[in-house]
Amino acid sequence: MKFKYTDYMRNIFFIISYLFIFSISQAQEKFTLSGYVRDGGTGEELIGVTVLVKETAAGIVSNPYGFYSLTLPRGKYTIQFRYLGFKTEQKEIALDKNIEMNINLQEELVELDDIVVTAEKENVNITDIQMSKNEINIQQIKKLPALFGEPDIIKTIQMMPGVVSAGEGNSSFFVRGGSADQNLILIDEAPIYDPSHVFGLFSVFNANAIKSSELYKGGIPSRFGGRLSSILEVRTKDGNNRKFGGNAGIGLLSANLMLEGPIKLGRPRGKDQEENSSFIISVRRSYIDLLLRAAKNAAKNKKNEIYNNMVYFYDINAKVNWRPNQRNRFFLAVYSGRDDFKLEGNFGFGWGNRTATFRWNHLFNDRLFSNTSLIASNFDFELGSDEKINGFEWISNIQEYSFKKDLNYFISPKMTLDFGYHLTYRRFTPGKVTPVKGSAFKAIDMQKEFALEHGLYAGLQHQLTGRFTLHYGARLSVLQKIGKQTVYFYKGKLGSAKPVRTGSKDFGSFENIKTYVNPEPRLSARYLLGQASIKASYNRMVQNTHLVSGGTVPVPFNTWSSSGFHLRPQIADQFALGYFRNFNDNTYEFSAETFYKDMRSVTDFADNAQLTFNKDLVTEFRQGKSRAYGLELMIQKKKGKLTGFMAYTWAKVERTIPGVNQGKTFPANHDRRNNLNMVATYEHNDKWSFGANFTYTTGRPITLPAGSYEFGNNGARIVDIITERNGFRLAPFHRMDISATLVPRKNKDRKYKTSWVFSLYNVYSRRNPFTIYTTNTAKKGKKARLISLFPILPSVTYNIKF
Amino acid sequence: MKITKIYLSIILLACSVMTCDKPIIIKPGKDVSNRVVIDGLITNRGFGFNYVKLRRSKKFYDKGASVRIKNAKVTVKDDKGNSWSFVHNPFNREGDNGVYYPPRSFKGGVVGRTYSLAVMVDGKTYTASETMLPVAKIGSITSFKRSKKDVEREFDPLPTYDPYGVKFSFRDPQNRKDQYLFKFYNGHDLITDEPGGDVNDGDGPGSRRSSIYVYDDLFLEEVVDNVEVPYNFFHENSSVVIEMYSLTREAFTFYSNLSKLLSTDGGMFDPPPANPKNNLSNGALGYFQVSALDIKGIYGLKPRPTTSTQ
Repeated sequence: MKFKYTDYMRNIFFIISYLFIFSISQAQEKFTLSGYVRDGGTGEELIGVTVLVKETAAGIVSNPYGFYSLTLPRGKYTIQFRYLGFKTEQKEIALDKNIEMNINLQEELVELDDIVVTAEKENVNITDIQMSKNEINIQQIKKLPALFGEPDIIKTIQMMPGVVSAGEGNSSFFVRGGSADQNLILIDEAPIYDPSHVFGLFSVFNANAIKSSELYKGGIPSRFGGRLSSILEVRTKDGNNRKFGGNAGIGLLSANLMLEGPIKLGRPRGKDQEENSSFIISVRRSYIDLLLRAAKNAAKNKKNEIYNNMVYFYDINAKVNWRPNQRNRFFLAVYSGRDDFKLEGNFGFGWGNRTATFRWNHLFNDRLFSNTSLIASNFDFELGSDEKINGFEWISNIQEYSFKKDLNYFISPKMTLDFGYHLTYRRFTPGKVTPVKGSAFKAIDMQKEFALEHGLYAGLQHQLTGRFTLHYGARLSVLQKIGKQTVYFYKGKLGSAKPVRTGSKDFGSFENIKTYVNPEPRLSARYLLGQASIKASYNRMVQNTHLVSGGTVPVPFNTWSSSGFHLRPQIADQFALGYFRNFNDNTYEFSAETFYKDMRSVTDFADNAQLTFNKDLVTEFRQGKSRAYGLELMIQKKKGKLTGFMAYTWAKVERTIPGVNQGKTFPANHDRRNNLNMVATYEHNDKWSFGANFTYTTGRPITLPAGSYEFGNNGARIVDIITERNGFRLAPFHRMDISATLVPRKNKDRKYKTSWVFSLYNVYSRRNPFTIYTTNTAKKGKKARLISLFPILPSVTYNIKF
Repeated sequence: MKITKIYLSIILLACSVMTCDKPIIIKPGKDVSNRVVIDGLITNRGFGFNYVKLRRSKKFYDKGASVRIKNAKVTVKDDKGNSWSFVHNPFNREGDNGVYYPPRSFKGGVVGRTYSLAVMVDGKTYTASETMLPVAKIGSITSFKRSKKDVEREFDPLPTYDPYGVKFSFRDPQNRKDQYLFKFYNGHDLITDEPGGDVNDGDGPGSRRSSIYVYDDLFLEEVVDNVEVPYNFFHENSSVVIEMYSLTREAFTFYSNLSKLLSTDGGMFDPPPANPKNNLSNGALGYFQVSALDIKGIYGLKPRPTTSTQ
């Protein structure tokens, strides 16, 4: 098998290098036009701007750092820069030498009195080769109704086609049949291991700090790897390099402040009044704890245990960037967020993510762009009690450090090559307990795990004809499980009821324990059909980091484990086919996609698995197959007074895991067949705009008892009998939310611009099912009870921009 | 710590409206009634601490007590070749229907010996076997007046008496692996719930306590003291009795599984509920437990902390 893989890889590289040489040998007298595309108002680099050569109808898009490069034969050209929400910029270029040209696009303000209808509208959804991708419009999210008035990109992601959630009030999402841990969530390239605040009521993404967010569900570019089902790439703002500004907001449960501005580094301002350095800092903090204290003071019954629960969370996003010259740019971005809970009885816990990203953009020449990143990410949780008798402190974390080298080579307007190398070092600390002095508990230190992961990739985007474009490439994933670790061996097959240790082997620091090599082919194709296109893609994804959680929704107290001696990498193959078409002069974007995903070695757990402080944890894993397929339909309107989308998904997800549900196939926890989501905003006038959401989803599968028995004598317990995994379904979930945004007219004459967002969550107050549990009393017999969470909930948020 | 409970209480607070918790009718698919349920116990103590209770399982919504199995043949053997035929309800008491006791020749189990159970019902035989492991000794038991803060937190309105708590200690031998099961009694009543209400009915899944107190000595130091009898605010005249059972690894797993099942939240944050692993053959439900047992009690909590042994 290995020989074949190598062969295969060699062929890929051969083809790529052939094309490379081919393109060079073809080069006669060619010149390059390159530069950065920026937002004229703030100086932020714009990602994914279409740069079109009118004469040849060929075009490229700006890369994730706003850089573009076009290499063309000598001549006169008309170049268009198009970006949604911005005025199209057109430049006449006489290309008789290499030209550096930075473009500032001006925001297209919606003038309601006479609406400017630009003649050419975006159809990038048709022309772009990327399929199965959703962009989350942060400006729109701020106008949409939100739970407790807190705009949250994850709640909008949960409404995208092909994505389901486990219900409301949580930050997990499931993409095309994948489980919640199969999503790679990146903030400025650094992974976030748990995106939740307050167990998922909110996510870690502060809407004021976000520049762009994109969800890749299929046809995943070769620069991404490490998770089976999706990539959520969130990039934060770089900060305004023209003028100092900021905004502040206060919502029902949290307040936030954002400041940004240029940093003077000695040199005079450029012609656009911009400095070559800028900063941004965003802070958000909940004040549930302050409300609690107030509620306690006001309450008659101060003994209610709720008042002894103190809860708060915060997020800090900070970034500085420096552009000493056109060829080099440096960024330093940090994120830190944490939840802190203090409960009655001196018991407390907390969790948080901390990330740091250092990036260096460098232009080797006007066609070869490079990005070098150094990334650190830490997720940890802690629990503790400072009681005298059985006080303890329990900590656990996962840390990773990455080096990434990504290169974009703009060969010609028809060919762009991306390649690079990623190296990641991971350290897993599953649990360490330190008792307080004099405690009856012992100190525990669970064995750490270490892993090195390499990713070597290349991908070539190749426009073969005017209609047909291919993107082909591959990623080579190499995982090395390394020491220091003691590996235990077990009698019989792992997954049998009672594994017995038969021996062990010690591995020294950085000593190789096990290596997994997996090539991941990636292929995408697009064929243009007038106002429509057909796209197809295939990708293989490999996941070597496995979540240790048995529930439907991960919680922050879950740990992670690496592929290793016993645990195999999870592998997914996905095929997707889509039809994309725009109507009414690109006003409406329609897409239909189908997918089939075949997953191997997906992780699950034995019944009654002991997942914490288990020195034989590896024996509780069960790995098996999962299969998902579905159809996704979406219609989007991105322009005009009324904007929004409507998405319908039908999908099925099954799992067959030896050792789970007696080896019989069962619907996955997130198997929800029908999903309908509608999101809309309406700009009524310059004062009022309105937003609405509607969601309908088939109920979540649930495991319920079929009968019961008595056990024990004095005060016998009534014990449930379980027959099958996920044999029942909760009732369908549906909900509608509405919002109104008020921008006072007197803002025009003010230095400070204010706005109000009023929202109503669950307008018709549907009691949506959250979970079912059973009661146990002998007297009254067994009963099942249903919990639902949020009734109708009003909220208001006040924002001020300066 | 129950995540569901914390989560729900935060939502409750944030919404300042009750999250809704209402009865629902579920439609159990498979009929799992009439399965044999075995609840067997062999200890190193005398008569009342050795029995095998046989019942049948019920459909989910079946009301009333379980059907007792009165016509079974129950035999217990040890690894020294002794064998005892258990007798159904020897004193003909209503409450002992379905309960089988050992004959007078059985003087209690011996630590280190392995006991095997065979139950014949309707032509089918169900078996299990376990070894009796030694148990640690309960050390001192003391009572203490509950602090005002604790009392205020638990009661509204305040009780008319001064509630007492009870603490005890034991030694965990460090040279062997032990698992323990504790049972606590207030007078004759097994302590199963928090005081002041039927928490099993409608207070949310996280509120339910399984009331199964099993411990693994993996995390215990040799001297384990100041262990509080859980969830109680005793009247000054109460008698509190503590039973400490040794458990095999299998029994510990069974009780841990049972505890998880009794307090599951339906699989949202918890793993999906599952049947406990037991030691019985042929698909019988329940468990055959063989334990060494230590008992200690404290009678009357008020005047001075006293210790007495039964």
